[in-house]
Amino acid sequence: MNNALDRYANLSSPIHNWDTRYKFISLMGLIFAFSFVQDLRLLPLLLILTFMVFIFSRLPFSFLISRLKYPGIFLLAIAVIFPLFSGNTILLSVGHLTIRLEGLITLILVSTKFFCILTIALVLFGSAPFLTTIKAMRALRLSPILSDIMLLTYRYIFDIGYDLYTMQVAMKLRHFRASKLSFRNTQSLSSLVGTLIVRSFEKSERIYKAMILRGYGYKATELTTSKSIFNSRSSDKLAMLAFSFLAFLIICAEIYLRMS
Amino acid sequence: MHIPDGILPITVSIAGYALTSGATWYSLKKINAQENPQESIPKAALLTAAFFVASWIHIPIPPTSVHLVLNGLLGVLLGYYAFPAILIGLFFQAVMFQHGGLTSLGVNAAMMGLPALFAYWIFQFRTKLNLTDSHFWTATFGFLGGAFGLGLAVLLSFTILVTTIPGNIDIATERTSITILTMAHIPLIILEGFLTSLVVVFLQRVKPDLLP
Amino acid sequence: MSSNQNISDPNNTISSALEIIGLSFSYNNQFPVLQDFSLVVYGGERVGIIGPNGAGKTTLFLLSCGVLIPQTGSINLFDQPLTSGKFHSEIGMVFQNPDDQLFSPSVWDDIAFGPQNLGLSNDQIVERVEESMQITHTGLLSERVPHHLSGGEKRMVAIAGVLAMHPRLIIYDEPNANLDIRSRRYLINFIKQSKETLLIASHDLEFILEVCNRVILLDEGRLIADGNPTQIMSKSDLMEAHGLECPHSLSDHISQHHKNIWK
Repeated sequence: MNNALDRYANLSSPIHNWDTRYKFISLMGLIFAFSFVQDLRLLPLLLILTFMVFIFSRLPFSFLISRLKYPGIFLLAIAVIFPLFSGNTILLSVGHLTIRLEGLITLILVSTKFFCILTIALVLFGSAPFLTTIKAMRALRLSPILSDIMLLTYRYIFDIGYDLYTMQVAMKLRHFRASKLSFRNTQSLSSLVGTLIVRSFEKSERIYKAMILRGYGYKATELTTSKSIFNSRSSDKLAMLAFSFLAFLIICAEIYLRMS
Repeated sequence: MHIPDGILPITVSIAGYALTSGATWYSLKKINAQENPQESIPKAALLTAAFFVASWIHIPIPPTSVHLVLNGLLGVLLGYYAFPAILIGLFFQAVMFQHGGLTSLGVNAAMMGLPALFAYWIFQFRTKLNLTDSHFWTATFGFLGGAFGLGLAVLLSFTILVTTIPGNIDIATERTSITILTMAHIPLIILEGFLTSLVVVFLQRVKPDLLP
Repeated sequence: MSSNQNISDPNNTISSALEIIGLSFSYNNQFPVLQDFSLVVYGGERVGIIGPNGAGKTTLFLLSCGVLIPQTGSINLFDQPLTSGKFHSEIGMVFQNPDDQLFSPSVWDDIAFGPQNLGLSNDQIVERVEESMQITHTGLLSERVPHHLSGGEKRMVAIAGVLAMHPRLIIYDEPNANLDIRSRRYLINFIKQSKETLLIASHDLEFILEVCNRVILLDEGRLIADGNPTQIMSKSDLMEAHGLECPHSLSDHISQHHKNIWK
């Protein structure tokens, strides 16, 4: 995958060099704080913060656009109902369609939050190898079973994806037309799904045997070594405190604006 | 069907996470209670990856094509493991493809995971009624599992979306829109039920150990 | 094996089976896998393709089947231009890993898959499947689950599935990989009696020697050598320069270690 998530994970930037554990807490906290916002007046603050985080990450703008394009279209397809149906103050009427003020506000709110949250998420997960992020989550007390499953899943998604691709090529070379809807085609697709499942299952049995032959499972080992790969500096913790404070400020501002 | 970030109010978001944490905690408890929990880890991981990849397969529904969801099938095959599998699958989708969301992860996992467990429960009747040898009954319960798995997920997702979106929409309109949106998905629900039944029969012929 | 290019056509009435002109290809604008590659394969030939891993063999095959789209160049299949993305029944490919090809719940279903996609009538489908099973001697496996077969059996079933399409040119990608000795010998005998034009990629150089009447050495996407298998594969400098070795039967023998055959 040319536009892989990890593509720019090896750059050097304040965000890239931030201890992944503290980065995870800080940016996820920020994401949830953003999610809490319902008042339009806070949106400029969200946008400025998002912009600054993005600039500090030194990720290319083209990367952001390519990743946000399709989800953005998808969101707008849903969110377009707001100005059309939500609210009572009619701004303008064109034929049968009415644009309502409240709905328009909601559209702006939802789209902006969506954009900000996804950008921060992209910075979080794109500024370190994904495997490092999973290990950071384990270090933050995620269940070892879940983190082991995630590591292995990530490792094998590409293998299994390649298996699927090759099987689909082999089917096409025997004149299978995926665009036709028919009973037989559905049967072929179900055999394809079934084969994928069986192959993956059998692969997992081989993998397990290879793992136990190297000591896995004996004395409750796990795939993730929790703390030894992370070396934090005091600036990492300070940054986390700063971000937590920002998130807290946003939440307070929102509550204040709601009450007044 | 996956709810993206930015739409749900924080209360719903958190409620979703609470529900998902509970269900996941319960699944993990069951896994840890086994004699050898590590044995199931590669299995769960590879099947999660397989389902993740399988959801990339397009099914033509003229004039367009749709992705398979397969949460019903996942529930049927994995039982309690379906919940962590769905949670991890959705997490990967959100992070790797920006499909779904991070704040909405709890809600998305709950609304796909709980119907998956329900599909498992339906499929268990096949065992309870001693019909495991019959292709016909395997196909039938497979169909029910797949269709209900997706159907309930669709219903839940639209209900949550319509009832929690900001703005005042009266109850009648809400109800109508939920109904219409769900009905629009009926062809897909039936197709997926059908596909699930075919996959389950395939597995019965090729690797019956995979079926509960 | 005769070194004539058209062994089944001494009067040169058959034109080319596969004509590749100036083909260049790279994945996702990365480094080129094939560079200005040209090749003509004549009807009835059995062409062996040798070279180190990563030389571009599989990519070449996928381009020849129309699965990948080249950046430059053109391909003609039996004098018709090859349109990428379209299906061409004259060409078939047996994949390196039969698991990538066999996906149906029974051998019969898998072999029938191709003819069904061709829109043939039920009678014609049955006829093709039975014919393929007969040629590959897989009739007894008809109701078995492909997944449960041995490596050699899977290989023959995969071949049967491709043969059922009645291709005129068959590509074999590492057909000997993971086969035991018996299955390997079986496959060699099978290929020797096949009538189609063949393109065979393999690391098993003795196999290429036995089966092919022409060999192509591919390395880093370029055609390094093209001609008589014995002549090319006995050149140790050439072979070693491209990550290969001379097959045993063609290598210099310093000490006497064969069984005495001069009785």
